[in-house]
Amino acid sequence: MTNKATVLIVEDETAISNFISTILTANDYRTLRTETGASAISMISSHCPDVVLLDLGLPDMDGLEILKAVRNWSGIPIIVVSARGNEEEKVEALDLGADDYITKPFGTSELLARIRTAIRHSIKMETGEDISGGMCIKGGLTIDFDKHIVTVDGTDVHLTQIEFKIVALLAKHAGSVLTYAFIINQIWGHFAQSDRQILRVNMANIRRKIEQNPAEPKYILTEVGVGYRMCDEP
Amino acid sequence: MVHASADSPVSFLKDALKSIFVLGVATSVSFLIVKLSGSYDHLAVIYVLAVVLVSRFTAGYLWGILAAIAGVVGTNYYFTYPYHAFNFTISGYPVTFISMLAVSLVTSAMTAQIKEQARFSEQRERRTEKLYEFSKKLVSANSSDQIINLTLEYLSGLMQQSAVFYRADPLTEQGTIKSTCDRHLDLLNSAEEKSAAHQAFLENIKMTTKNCLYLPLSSQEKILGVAGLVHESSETPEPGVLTLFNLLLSQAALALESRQLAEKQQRIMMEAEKEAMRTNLLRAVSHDLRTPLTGILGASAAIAENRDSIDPAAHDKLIADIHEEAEWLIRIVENLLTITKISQEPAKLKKFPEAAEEIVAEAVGRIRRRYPRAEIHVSVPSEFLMVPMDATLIEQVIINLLENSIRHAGNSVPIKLEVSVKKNRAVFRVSDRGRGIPEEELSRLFTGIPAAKNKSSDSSRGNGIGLSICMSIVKAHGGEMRAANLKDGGAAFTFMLPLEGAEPND
Repeated sequence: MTNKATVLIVEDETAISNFISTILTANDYRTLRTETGASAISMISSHCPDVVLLDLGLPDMDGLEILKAVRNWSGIPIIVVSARGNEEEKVEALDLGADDYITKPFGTSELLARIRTAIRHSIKMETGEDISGGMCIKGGLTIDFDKHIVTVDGTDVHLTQIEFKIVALLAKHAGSVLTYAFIINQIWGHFAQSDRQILRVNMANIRRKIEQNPAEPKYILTEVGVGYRMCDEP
Repeated sequence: MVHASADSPVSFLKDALKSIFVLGVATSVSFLIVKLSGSYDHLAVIYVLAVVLVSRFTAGYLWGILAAIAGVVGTNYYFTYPYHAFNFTISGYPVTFISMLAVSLVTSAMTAQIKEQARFSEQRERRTEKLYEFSKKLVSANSSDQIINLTLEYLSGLMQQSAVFYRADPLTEQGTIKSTCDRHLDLLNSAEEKSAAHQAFLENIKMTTKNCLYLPLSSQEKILGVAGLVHESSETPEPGVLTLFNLLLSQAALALESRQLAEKQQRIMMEAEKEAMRTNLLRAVSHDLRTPLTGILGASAAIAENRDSIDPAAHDKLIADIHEEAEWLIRIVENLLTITKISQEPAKLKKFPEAAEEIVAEAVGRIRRRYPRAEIHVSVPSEFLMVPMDATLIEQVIINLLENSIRHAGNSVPIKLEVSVKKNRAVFRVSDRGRGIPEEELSRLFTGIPAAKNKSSDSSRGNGIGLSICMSIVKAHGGEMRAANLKDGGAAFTFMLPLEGAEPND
């Protein structure tokens, strides 16, 4: 309790920022609130919050502009708040450096989970390495980065080189969404055509190997139109 | 106007041979007669016959006249005294000569006329046939472009000339040209020709330039376009050409007009259909909005007004109600958003190949969050399945169908969602073991019209807009959707999406 994490809520709708603030305060966060983009930028630099919740539709400036401006000098975790159906906007925000997004309307638990993930990631970044070393455990799924071994509920799973790379990449960023473009870039390199088909095919194969029912994945979730997210339950 | 038809060297030679042959035969016959009977009286008749034959079977006047002269000279030389010598002083000789010449001229003229007439009627017949063919093709033409192309094709085919068609003002619009010769392209596109066409178009009159003839295409004072025809062989076009040109264009104008009317009518019908759909939706939406809003209003007022008297359990219940109603409202709004996406221009729906399992997973995930107690069994084909679709829309369809099943079959009933492939189509099937769909509702299930009037429609949330939206989305994808009751209880909703464009994974 001594060191509460601070969340900056950038939102012009009072009703929404009211309830977010109430929820966060009740869950032991300190909250700061602002309604305009200009003051958001100055508050980020002066208060150094731990997480920023950024609504993309602000009266004075485009949320994406704020994102660009802040990313010039800060790696502070930013969670973008966007409406459903604006998948392109989400992808753009993620590609511009947003850490995650949350879709309106969202529930309390979802919001808290995203904020937790974002804070954990920024701590990981600051302290340098993964806490569990070369291992990553998500429920029944274990990934050994050093030995290139993946097991599900104790049994070995044989993944191809590419498949392992994808799983490892998602695991390293567990909890946050990786856009199609980002994954393709990381796995196939900069010059790979942005052809999502091949990624989808690989993902389908991975799911058939690690998930019980590929139509109800437990470990790697699809964010339709945006990308993939590895679930973040330890 | 009358051409000494096709004077090619071959036919010239042929005519010469024919003339020589006929005259030769006539001379031999004459010799024979003189030898046998010794009489010279009938020789003139034989030569007259020869002249008639020559005039009849050769083209033009030349050979007839030559034959007449040869006949007179030959008679004189061979068969009048002094034999084998010329003597033009015989009495009555000029009469024979003149009458033979006259016979030859008259016969030639008649022959030429008959031939010309035969040529004309043959041409007319060919044109009539072509016109008939043209009008038959016009009937089956199903677009304005096709009509114009047909017109050009027949115009240029019949006249053996280049033709051009402008659908709008020739000064601003590029015309469609069918040319028989490259030179004509530049000619037709020249400023001079264009301004003539422009004038014909504007004033609805016939325009003639040095090289072209322009006729407007009009129907009931409305100008549908202007057609131009090149005529370079003669200074002014023949009247026959003009008539034919006119005839062709009036047929084309009729066809164009009726096509445009049909297109307009179709547009109006589509508009009306859209309008009807919109009205239905609005009715369904206002109905669907009123219920939860009333609930929220009532519950929040109850809490605010009875702050002290209300017991905690009732308080919590009211809050939970507000929460649930608000969630319902959000779902309606999400559905409405998808409507705006498809009602703009269904043809422009952006379809991308998507992995069916991913879309299904996301939809099921959302439903599970809303109804944590619902029992849903999902199965997808073991082969990776790509389906061209707009992901958010199809996800909405699946969500609506699942939610519909949960609401109507009840939370405790297991619901199955199966994806399969049948005949080049992806089949999505949501089935439950609930109480099924009342027969009387099956028919209007997808229309968005609220349930039967005799039931108080405000008392329960009907299928509302959800299913009608599903139908619109699936239709916009070129798919199909059905609802049916299962034999052993429960209902099944099935929708199919075409797989074209998706690449199967080997």
